[in-house]
Amino acid sequence: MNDNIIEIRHVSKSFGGQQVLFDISLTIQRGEFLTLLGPSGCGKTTLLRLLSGFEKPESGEIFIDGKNMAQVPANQRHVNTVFQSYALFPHMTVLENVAFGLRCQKIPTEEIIPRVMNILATVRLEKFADRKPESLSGGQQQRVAIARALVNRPLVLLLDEPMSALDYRLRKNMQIELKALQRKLGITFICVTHDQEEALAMSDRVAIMEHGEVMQVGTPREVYEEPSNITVAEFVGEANFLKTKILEASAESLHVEIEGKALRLTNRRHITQDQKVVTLVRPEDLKVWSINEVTNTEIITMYQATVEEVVYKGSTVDLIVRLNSGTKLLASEFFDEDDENLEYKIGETVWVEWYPGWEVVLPELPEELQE
Amino acid sequence: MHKDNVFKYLTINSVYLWLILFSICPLTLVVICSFLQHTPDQLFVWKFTLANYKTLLTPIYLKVFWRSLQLAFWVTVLCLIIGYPFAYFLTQLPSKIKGLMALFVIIPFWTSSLLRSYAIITIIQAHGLLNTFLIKIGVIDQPLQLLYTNTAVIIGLVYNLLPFVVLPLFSNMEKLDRRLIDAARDLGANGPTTFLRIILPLTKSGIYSAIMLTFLPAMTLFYIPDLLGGAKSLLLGNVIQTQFLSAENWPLGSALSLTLTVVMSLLLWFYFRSTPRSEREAL
Amino acid sequence: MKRILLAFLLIFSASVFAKQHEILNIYNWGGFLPDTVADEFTKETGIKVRYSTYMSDQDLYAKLAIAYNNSGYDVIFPSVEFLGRMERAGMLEKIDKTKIPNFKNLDPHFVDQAFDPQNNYSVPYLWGSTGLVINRKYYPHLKFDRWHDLWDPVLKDKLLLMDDPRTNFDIALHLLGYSINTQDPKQIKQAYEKLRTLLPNIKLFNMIAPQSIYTNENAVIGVGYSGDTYAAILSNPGLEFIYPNDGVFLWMNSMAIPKNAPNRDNAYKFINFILRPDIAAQIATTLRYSTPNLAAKKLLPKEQRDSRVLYPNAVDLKNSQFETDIGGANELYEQYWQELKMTT
Repeated sequence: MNDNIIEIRHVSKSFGGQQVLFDISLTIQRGEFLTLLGPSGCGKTTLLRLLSGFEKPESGEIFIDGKNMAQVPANQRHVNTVFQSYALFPHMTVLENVAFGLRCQKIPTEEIIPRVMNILATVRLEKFADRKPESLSGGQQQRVAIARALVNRPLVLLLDEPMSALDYRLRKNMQIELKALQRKLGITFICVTHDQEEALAMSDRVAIMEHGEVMQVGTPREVYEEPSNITVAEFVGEANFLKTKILEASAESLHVEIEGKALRLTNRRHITQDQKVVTLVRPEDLKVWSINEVTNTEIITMYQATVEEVVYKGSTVDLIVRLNSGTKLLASEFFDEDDENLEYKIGETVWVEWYPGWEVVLPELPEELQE
Repeated sequence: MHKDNVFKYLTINSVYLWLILFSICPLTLVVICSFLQHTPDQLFVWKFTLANYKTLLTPIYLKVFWRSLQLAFWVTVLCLIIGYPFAYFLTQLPSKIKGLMALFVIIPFWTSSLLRSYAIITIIQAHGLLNTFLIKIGVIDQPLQLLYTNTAVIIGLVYNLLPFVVLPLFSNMEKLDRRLIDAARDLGANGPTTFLRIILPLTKSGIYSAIMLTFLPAMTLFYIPDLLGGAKSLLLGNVIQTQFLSAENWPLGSALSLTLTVVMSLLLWFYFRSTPRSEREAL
Repeated sequence: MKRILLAFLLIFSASVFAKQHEILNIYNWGGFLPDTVADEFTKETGIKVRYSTYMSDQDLYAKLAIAYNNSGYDVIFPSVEFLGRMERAGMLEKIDKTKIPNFKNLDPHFVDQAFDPQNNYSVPYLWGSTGLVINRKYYPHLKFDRWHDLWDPVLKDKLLLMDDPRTNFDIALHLLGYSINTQDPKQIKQAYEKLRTLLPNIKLFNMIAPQSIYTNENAVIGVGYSGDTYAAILSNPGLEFIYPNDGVFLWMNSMAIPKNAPNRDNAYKFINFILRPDIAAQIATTLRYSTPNLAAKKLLPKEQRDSRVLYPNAVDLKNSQFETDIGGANELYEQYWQELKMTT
């Protein structure tokens, strides 16, 4: 017995000659909320279906709770799924839907009813027990689907794009609710989504997938702040990439030329002299200054740029600025009540900088993987 | 009046005209005729009587009614037993050949049903294909006496009515959400449970339409018992046919038809009452 | 409803086209007139033949009845036992025999019979007999030469009987010692009871294709008409047609002219044409039924002329009789017949 509820070892899968998963290895810890994040077609749903048992891996092994799942069919795995658009049984009431799994386990009725009502209470649907799914709202249907899966006390709950059928506001609420529910029940959740915001908001860890491979697994903060490569960086959050040339690399420091300006950075990623790299700076890490705010000595580490677009977003102002080198950048500036200088005009010349050390130097992708 | 309205007016009224001409008028004639008297030399006489309906209550007619219902029941059951898995199998085919296969179900029915019944004779008759084959492979040494038995009638009816089971079920199953089956399996249901608790209830309306389309014809396809059953076990259809054509007793024939229509309408009514609107669409 | 519409259509079409050509509207049993004969008639006379068919005398009767004797047909082919009924219903035109010189060719045995004593309404066309049929391959030694032998318990579920009330009631009535043309309800009821005791032996009723059923051995014993059986024997020599020594029932089809026939003269021309020896012989040869035309019989191929099935000798026919009109009793026969088939 170990703390890993699921171990995926070197799993590959293809459909009709088209390989969709390449040698995936992943361990998921007991009680963790893990999200498989990636664009559509990246293989995340296939991976989920391998866990639930609807598909079989071509090679590799899957262990759930220490047991090899190779010979265990879907209906005998202690894993339940919340399906995309829920797949509620339309001919059954909410109660019957939720009781279905327990009925299949031949649990006596007098035990089923309290368990069902209990879980319905957890998702605040006890008043709807006798309704048919079609008479419920999208959010209610989703909660029925969750209740239907959770009532079986699965080792792992799989959620396939659980929010995709909900509108934006409801989605936000449900993200919080789902996370709270998971924390309360202590059940391992594995969620599939293509929405990075959702992934970051709910998960303990995020596994970013692309082209059938797991690119990076880490906490939301890790994958956001320390993306392992450009793909991850691009997929998680907004990103500015700055043209970078390595002038000199040592174990501790990097002497680089970024957008025509020589800078000295710490070498956190063991970049070598001959590597091709780019520098990632998140929009919120960029600072934009009006010309009159800056002194001459400060200019040394700053870039001159022209404002091309101003997008007012309520709590932030997004600026699109063009460096003199021609590179476009996105900068998010937080409002500060005392700072009246947040009024930018299009065409205005500004100075741009970022907090030293907040940049990430990433190896460029090999030619064939570049979009 | 706008051009659109004229068009609407015309189409709606032509539907009414059609209904009146080809449904309500004939039905009214049958209703009236069923209350008329009959004499040997005239098809009907304009005098009111309930005698025709009284005749239907005599044991001999009740027996035919009962026998027809029984036969129709078994034929419908057999059609469903064969047609249901068949339709399910069709839906599992790759979508490229699915349509083609469904077409193959229909193609034989472009040939007259009478002709196909004769074809069944050549298969099941004493020295027919089936017996020749079975004797050749040594399963039997005497020809099976299938032709002119109830079995032959059932074979003929099932064969003729099978598409009316397969097609509505097929279209019904096509609409079945595959994820519901996944969901059932995910929740621990084995094959039989998934079938009984999910697939069967969700294809219920297809089954109902299939029953609607087989039950009545099974009682009224008179030429099949005539051809394959040796004309001896009379079904309702045969009785109606002979009352009109041979016995020239139109009033009694009308009363029989009407009773059958009423019984079927009751079944339909029952169906509509027991099925919510949303599940009825397959019909 | 369909029938009425059809009748209207017929009347309509007949009246429209009649003006353009000389025309003859024939309404006959299916397969009961060789195409070549109709063609030859058109070739010789220039009269165009329009041909429709029916399946039973009841069909014919019903069609004339619903058209109120304006069916538009010129020549019909009723079975002789239907003549009386049709005549009473005023459906038939009285026949002027002076317009049919070939009437003289007919065998005197078949004219002036009880069903139409002076042949006022009908002209004999083809005839046949009802007898026993047995396939000796299956029953090499079975005694099977009387109607009563049908009741033999070894024949359980074996018999092919004609799908026609009269043919079967004939057998039962005759065995009970009554006239086959009885109208006495008590006698008919007794015949019905008698036939009920035959039910266990019956495999099927058929009238459309008894010939092929016997040929293909889907039934190997039962009752048959001489013409059908003659044809069946040609393809299955195991078959035998037996004139029961306790009585033979004869049937005949006649030609008649319905009331208000629109082309009466053409009808006479046609009937006279049919009675021409070469034509009558051609019909008999093709259809393999027996012809009542003496002059034609001489022109038949030898094997048909000498066939005892088609042309039985005097001994075979010593107990023979024709079915005739049964008047209003028809209803009763039909009713018992239905009940009989419903009970099986």
